[in-house]
Amino acid sequence: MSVLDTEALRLKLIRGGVAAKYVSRTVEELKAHFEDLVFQCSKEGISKEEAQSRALQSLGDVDVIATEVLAKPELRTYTWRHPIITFILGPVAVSLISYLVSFLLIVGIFTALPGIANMNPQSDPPMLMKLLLHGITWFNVYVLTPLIAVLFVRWARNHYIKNLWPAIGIVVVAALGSGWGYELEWPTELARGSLSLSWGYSFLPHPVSMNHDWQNYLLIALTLAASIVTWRFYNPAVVSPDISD
Amino acid sequence: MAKTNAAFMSGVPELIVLRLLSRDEMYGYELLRAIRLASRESINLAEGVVYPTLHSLEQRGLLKSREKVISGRTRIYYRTSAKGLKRLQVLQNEWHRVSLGIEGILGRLSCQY
Repeated sequence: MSVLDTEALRLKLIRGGVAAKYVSRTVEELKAHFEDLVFQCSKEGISKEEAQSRALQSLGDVDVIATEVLAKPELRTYTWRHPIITFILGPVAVSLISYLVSFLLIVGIFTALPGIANMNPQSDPPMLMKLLLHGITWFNVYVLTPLIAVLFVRWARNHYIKNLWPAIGIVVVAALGSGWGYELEWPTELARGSLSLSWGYSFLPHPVSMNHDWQNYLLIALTLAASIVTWRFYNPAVVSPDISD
Repeated sequence: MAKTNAAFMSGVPELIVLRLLSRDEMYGYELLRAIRLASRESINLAEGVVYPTLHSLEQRGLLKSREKVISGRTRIYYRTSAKGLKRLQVLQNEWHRVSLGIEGILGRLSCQY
C-alpha cells in the first residue's frame, strides 16, 4: 500500500489514551508532510506511485510513529495519566458531593415548600410534598449510586482504560453509596420534623451500625450489575470516538 | 540513507529542535529539511517521529505553535518559547561538557595507542 494509513494510526493513538488534540494534530501534520514529500519527489520527475512509496519510507512505519507518541505520557489524557484520581478519588468525591447536594435539596424542599405553596405540613402532609420528598429519597437510595457507577464505567470505556482502577473505583462507589440512608420525620403539633442523613451497614456492630437493612446489599448488587452490563454492552467506537482531556 | 541510531540519539532531538526553532519559526517538514541541511545529512531521523517530539515539547511549554494558512493549506508553525530558550541553554551546556569529555577520552586514547 502506498498511501499513509492515518485511520490505523488514529485508532492506535485513541486506544492508547492520547489526547484528542494530539491525535488530530499528529494525523493532520503527517498527512501534510506526506503530501509535501510526494510533491517534492514528483518535482524530481518520479512517478506518482514511486513518489508515494518513497514518502512512506521517509515518514517511517505507522507503528513506529504510534509507539513514539505513546512513549510520551504528557501527550495522553488526564484520565490515562492519573487513573487513581479519576477512578478512585473522583467517584468517591462525586458520590459524597451528590449525596450532600441531594440532602440539601430535601432540606430546602422541606423548609421552603410549605411557605411557598401555603401548606401546613403539621396537620396532614400534602400529597405533592410527600411525593417530591419520597421521589428524591427513592432516587438517591436506588438510582444515584448505580448512575454514578455507570457514568464512570462509560468514562473508562470512552478512554479505552482496561486496567483495574475503574473496577476498584466501582466497588468503592458501590460500598460507599449503598450505605447512605435517609430518615424523615414529619412535624407534628408537638414536635418539629427532622431529616437525617446517615451512613452505615446493618452487619456492622452497634454503635457503628445505623440499622440499615437489605437495601445495602440490594444496592451493591444493583450498582455492580449496572456497571458490568454497561462495561459489556457500551461500545465507545460506535457511540463516539471523540475523546477530550 | 541509513537512519541514525535511535539509542545514541536519545535526548538529542530535543536539543536540535529547540536550537533550530530558536532561530526561525518552522513547520514539521521545513524543520526536517533544516536538520538535514544543518547536520550535512549526518542526522537522518524517521520523519514521522518528529511530530511526537514537537507535541511533547509544546505540551511542556518549551515550544509555542500557531496555525498559518499558506496557499490554502493549514500549517502548524513552531518556535522556541522563553522557557524553551532557558532549557536550550541548559542542554547546550550539558552537551558541550559531555562532548569535551568524549573528545578528551578519544584524544588520550589515540595518543596512547
